[in-house]
Amino acid sequence: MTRSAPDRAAPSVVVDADICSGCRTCELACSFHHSGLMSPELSSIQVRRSNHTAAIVWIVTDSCDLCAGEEELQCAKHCGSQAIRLERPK
Amino acid sequence: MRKTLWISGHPIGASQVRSFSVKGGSAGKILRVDLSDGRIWIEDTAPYAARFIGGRAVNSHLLLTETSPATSWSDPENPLIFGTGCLVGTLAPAANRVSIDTKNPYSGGKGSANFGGSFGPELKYAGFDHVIVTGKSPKPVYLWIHDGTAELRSAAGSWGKTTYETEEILQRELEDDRVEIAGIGPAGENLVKSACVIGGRFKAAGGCGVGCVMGDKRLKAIVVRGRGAVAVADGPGFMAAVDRCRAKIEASPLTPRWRKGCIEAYCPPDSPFWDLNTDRVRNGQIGNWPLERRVNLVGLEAGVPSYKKRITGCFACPAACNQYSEIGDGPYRGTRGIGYWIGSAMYSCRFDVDDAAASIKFHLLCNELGLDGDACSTVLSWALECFDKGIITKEDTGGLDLRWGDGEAMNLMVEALAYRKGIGDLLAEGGKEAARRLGRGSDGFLTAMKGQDTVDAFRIQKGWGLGLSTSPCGPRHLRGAVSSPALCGPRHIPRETTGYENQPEAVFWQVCAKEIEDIIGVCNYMGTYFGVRALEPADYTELTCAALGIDISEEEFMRVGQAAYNLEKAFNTIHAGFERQDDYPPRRYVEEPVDRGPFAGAKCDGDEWGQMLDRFYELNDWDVATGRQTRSGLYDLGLEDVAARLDEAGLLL
Repeated sequence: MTRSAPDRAAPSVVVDADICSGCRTCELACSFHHSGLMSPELSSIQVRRSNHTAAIVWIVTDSCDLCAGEEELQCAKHCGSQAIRLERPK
Repeated sequence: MRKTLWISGHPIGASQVRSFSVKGGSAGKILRVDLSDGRIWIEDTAPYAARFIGGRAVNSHLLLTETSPATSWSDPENPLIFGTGCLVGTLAPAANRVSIDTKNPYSGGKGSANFGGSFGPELKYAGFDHVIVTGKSPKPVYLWIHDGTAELRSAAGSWGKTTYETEEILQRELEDDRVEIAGIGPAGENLVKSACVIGGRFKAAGGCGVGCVMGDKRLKAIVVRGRGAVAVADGPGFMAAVDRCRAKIEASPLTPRWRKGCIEAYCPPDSPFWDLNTDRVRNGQIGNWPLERRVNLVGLEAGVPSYKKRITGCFACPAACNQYSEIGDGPYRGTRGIGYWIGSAMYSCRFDVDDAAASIKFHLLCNELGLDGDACSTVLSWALECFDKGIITKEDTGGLDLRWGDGEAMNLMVEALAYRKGIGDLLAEGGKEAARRLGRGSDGFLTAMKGQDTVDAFRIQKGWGLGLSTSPCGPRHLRGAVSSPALCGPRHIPRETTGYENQPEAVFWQVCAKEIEDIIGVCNYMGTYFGVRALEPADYTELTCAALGIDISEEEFMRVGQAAYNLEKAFNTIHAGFERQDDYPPRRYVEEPVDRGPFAGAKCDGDEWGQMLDRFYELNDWDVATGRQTRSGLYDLGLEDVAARLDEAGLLL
C-alpha cells in the first residue's frame, strides 16, 4: 500500500486496499471534478490491481484538493465498496 | 397481433428508427487494420453512430455490409470487429463492455461475444470506439494501440504462451504494467472452435469461436494504453442520471448479496436455482443433483466460496462480483486467479464433478488456455458420454479413463482440447463435426443447435429455452433467455417459468433490451439479467441522452435494439441459411424428459415450441411459416437497405 499526501498535518484521502475491488470508479469521479472529463490520467487518485494476485495498490497525488467546491468527496461518494474515506489527523 | 412492443407493461405502436448526431461519449475514431499487408488507417465513428449509436449494433451493421456471403470464417476477408459501448469509459455504472463480432466458425452465421474488465475503457482513452481487423498476418503479431496511434508488432515472444504468460510478456516488452490486453491462448492459436478471447486474464469473450478467428488471423493480442479522456455532452445531466442509477443499485436488496460473488448470491446449495437449471448432469442424461452434491461444490464451508480470498470488480462497476480464488493444498495447490460464475458450477454438473477445487481449476484453466468454458464443457461432456457408451475408447484418449465425476480427467481433457492432443484434435472441431466423423449414433446425444454446442438447460424453463433457440449467435443464453420475472427478463410480463404462456413476449422484450445493453456497453448484471437487477431501459435511455447529447425516447431506443437484432437475423439468413426449422431445441431435449427431481417429466414439447415460435415471429414481424424477415417489418425499422440485401439473395418475404 502506498500513499503520498501533500501535508501530513492536513486531512487526506485514504483507500482501504482490503475492501477496494479495483474498479477505478474513483478515478473517473475525481477526473470529472477536476476537468469535467472522464479520464484516469486526469485523476488525483490512482488504483492498480494485479490480475495475478488481485492485490491493490493506490496513491493519491499532490493534485488532490479534497474536492474543493463539492459537497462531498467525489471518489468516496462513487465508491461502491465504501473503501474510501477522509482521514483527519488526530 | 403485429408490431407490438411492450414498454413498462403496456403494448405500444411502432415508430421508425431515425438518425442521431452524437456529441459526447464517443472517442470519435474507428481503427482499421489489414493484417495481410500491414495497412492501418483511421475513420470517423460519427457516420456509423448516426444510425446505430454504438457497440454491437455498429459492429453488426459493419459485419453485414462488409462481408460477402462467399467469404468463409477462415478467409482473410472475414472481419473481426471489436466495438465498445457508447457509454464505456464514462461513470455510467459498469459501462465497460466490448462486443466482438465476426463470421461464426461453427456455422458461418453471426459470431458474437462480449466481455468486460478494463480493455474497453482503455481503448476509448486511447482514442478508438471500434477496431476492425481483416486479413491474415504471415507471422504471429499483436496490435499495439496507444494514444491515437497503432502499430503491428511481432508476437514471436508470446505465440504459444498462455494468456497469463502473455500478459507478463507484453507488459514487460512494453515496459508498462497498465496496458490492457485482449488476446488468445493456445486454444485460439490451434484453431479450436471453442476458443475465446480473454481480456486481462479473466474476462472471457466466450461463444461463437471468436478466439478461433483471431488465431486464424495470427493475431495474438490487441494491447491498448490510453491517456485521453471521454467527454459527455451534458455533464450535469449525465452526473444526475448516474446518481439516480447508483441510488437504484444501492437500494436493490440483491446488491449486498451480489457483492459477495455470484455463487453466494444466486446458487447456494439450497437455492431453487439448482432444481431449475441442473437438468444437464452427465451431458443432460440426469436431471437433478441431490443437496449433498451441491453442498460439496458451492457450500460455504468447503465449496467454491471457501477458496475466495477477495472480490474484484470490472471497470467502473459499483457491484463488483468477480471471485479471486487461491487453492492452498491438494492436487491443485498453487492455483490462483480471478473468475468463477454460475455457469462454471453448471460446467461441473455436465461432468458430474462436485469437487470444488477441480471446478475452480477448470474455470481458471479455460481462462489460461483461452477456452470458452460453456462450449468446452459441452463438447467434453459429450465425449464422456461417448466413452461411457463405448463409442470412444482408451485407445482414442491416449489411455485416459474418462469417468463421470472425475475432476482430474476433466482438467486433463481441457488441456488435450486446447493443444489438440489425442482425442482433443477431434473435439476441437466442435460437437457436430466430431459426431459426423465419429458416427455410431453419437449425434443422438449432442446438445447443439445451429452447429454450435450449447451448455444450457432447455427443458424446464421455457422462456430460457426459447431465448436460446432464437438467439442470433447460436444457442447462447445472454441473448433473449429469460427466467422468472424477479430474476431475469422483463418484470412486467407475467409468466410461469415452467410454462409456455407469455414467453415469446418476454423473450422479445429481453432481446431488444439486451441489444441496448450492448449498444451502450453496460453490464447486464446491473439491469435485465440476474445480478443486482436495478437498471431498466428507461435508465439506459436517460444516461445515453445526457452522455451523447441526443434526444431519444425509451420506446425509440427499444426500436433501435430491435433493428440491431434484425441486422443479426439478416446476417444469419444470408450467410448461414437459418430458418424456422433451425429454431427448435436439440433433439435430446425434445425426445428425452428430465428423469428426476421436482421437474421430472419436463421436456421441450414440439407443438408447444412451434406455437411459441409462431408468436415470437409475429412480434418480430417475420414470416411465421419460414421464420424469414419481411419487407414490411424491415421497412418499419428503417432497414430498407437490409431488405434489399435479403431481396437480392431471394430470402425476403
